[in-house]
Amino acid sequence: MKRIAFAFALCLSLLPGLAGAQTFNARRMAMGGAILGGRQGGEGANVAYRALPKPASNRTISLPIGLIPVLSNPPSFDSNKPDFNVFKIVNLVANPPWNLALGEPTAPSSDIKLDISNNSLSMDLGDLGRVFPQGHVRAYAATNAPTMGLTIHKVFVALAPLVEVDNDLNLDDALSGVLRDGATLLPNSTYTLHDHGRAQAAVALHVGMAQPVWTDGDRQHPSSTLYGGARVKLIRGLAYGEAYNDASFTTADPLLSSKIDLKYTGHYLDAGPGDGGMGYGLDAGAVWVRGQLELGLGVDDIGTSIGWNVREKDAVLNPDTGNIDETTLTGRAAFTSHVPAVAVCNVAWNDPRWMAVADMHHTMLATTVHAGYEHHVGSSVALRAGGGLDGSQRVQLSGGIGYAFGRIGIDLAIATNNRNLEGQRLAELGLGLELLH
Amino acid sequence: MRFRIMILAAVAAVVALAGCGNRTLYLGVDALSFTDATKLTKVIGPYPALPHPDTISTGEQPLFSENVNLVGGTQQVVDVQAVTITFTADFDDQYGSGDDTLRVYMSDKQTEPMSTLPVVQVPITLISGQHSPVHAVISGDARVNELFTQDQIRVAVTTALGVPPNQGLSGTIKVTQLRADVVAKHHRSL
Repeated sequence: MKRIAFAFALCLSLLPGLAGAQTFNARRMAMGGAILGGRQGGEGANVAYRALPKPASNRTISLPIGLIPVLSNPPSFDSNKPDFNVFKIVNLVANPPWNLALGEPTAPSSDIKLDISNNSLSMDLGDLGRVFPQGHVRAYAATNAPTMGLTIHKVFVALAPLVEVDNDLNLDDALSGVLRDGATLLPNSTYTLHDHGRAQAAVALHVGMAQPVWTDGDRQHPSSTLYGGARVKLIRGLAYGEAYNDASFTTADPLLSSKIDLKYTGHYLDAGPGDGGMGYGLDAGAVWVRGQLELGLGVDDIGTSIGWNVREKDAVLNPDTGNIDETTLTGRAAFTSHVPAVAVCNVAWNDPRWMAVADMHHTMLATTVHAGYEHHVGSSVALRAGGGLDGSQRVQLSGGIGYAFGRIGIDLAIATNNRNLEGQRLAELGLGLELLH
Repeated sequence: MRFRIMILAAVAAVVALAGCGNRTLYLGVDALSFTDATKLTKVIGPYPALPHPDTISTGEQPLFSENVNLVGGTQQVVDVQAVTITFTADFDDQYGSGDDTLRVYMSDKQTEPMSTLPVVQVPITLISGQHSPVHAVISGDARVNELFTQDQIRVAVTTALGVPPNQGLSGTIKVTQLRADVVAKHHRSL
């Protein structure tokens, strides 16, 4: 099980575009994925948005058109089948098929060449070499937004899952060169790999409040309003796992003699539902609205931490048996895990004929930037365009159109991304409905 | 052995990924690199040109016999489809004439290679003052294909010299290449 989890974490680490998440709202997707302002999509990132008046389009339904090709032609999970494709499966896991992918990444197609001699070994992995990181690569994914709840006056209560996966894989230059660049494995050389993976799951009860905290001018029609909000999280830990893995080997001289020394050490922490304790966290935010201008700043998971009773183990490769021997250090040791804070700032200008939005998300992994523009043509058509920088600091572009049929609006969006194992730029199509007032 | 386990793990991962397409694993093995270079050259004779009524036959003499380390366990991830053995050598005949037969043997690590059938067998005619180059390319031997799924094989090269009646012979034989090129495809039962 640990090996499967470790392999899965490694696969996640190799996904270069994981930080650029899928956008499920077609209107937002067409506008670069930016927070639309006016309480549309900003509530999860900035709790103060809950205090803003509800928008005219009060319900948005995102349509999972990406399921159609997957259901009509599901991938093979049987490695004995000729159409089995591990790249396809990993990409599917990283990209739940909600939006419709326009095209598939080209699977590495080149042949693999190994050359062995007594004093050198070279591996030319061709296209596959691109899959291996050049040095250090980190993958982080977290789900921590409220799902269902109720609001009583200005106080709201909600339940939310908390799932966080973080993996940091580091190959030294020598090993990266061998795997990625086809460099020759040389005698009397050391090659090292270090991996630190961490995953935790919990359930949280959110209790919060958001309201105007300051107004300027007429109370009924203020020229500007500052909204504030805070959300306290009471968390119960369900599962925790953390592993530090260090592996290295030093080649012998001659290279393929039996004197090579492979070393592995590991340090594991794990806890199950019975070992989970309580935790706390805080989200806070503010939004300032003046006329058509809107500025927001939110910080989620301020000091969020969870208590655990963890089992702690050391592992080492036994050079005599070739097995990994584990030693339990502690059966139930008190341990506190943390959830890193996320900061989001956004700006929006809401004109009756057009809207311009931009935001910046800063996480422990990366800073992403999104911007978008919407222009209304007549009373029923909206044209949209956007773009931004994803988690790997690559420029992504988007566009779309909205059309209103009476009280029903249809939004169509197209956006680029690099969320695949091969790191290739692809486009996806999003479709949504809006129920208008 | 530990090193081979590491290589196996890497190769297994690579080949598992390789299973996504109709890709081929090409494995090249320089078998001579595992042999002490001094064993690759052998001085023949001198057999003086004295009267002798019968052909002098040396019988089969080993030039070298070595273990060659490979990537073990590949049979679990790939099917070896073809192995091509390329063998080159050169006989520098300084004087005299005769004939020689060079043989290449390959076996698993538990078997004495010369107890098996030769993989390559090349007869050469030796002409005074001339070089006699040898270049042989052999493929399609199912037994050899099977050998290259193992972590180690044994390789031996022999010479069997014949000097005709009343002839002398002196020269040098040098093995210059013994290479295996393996073509393998992903094993679907991985």
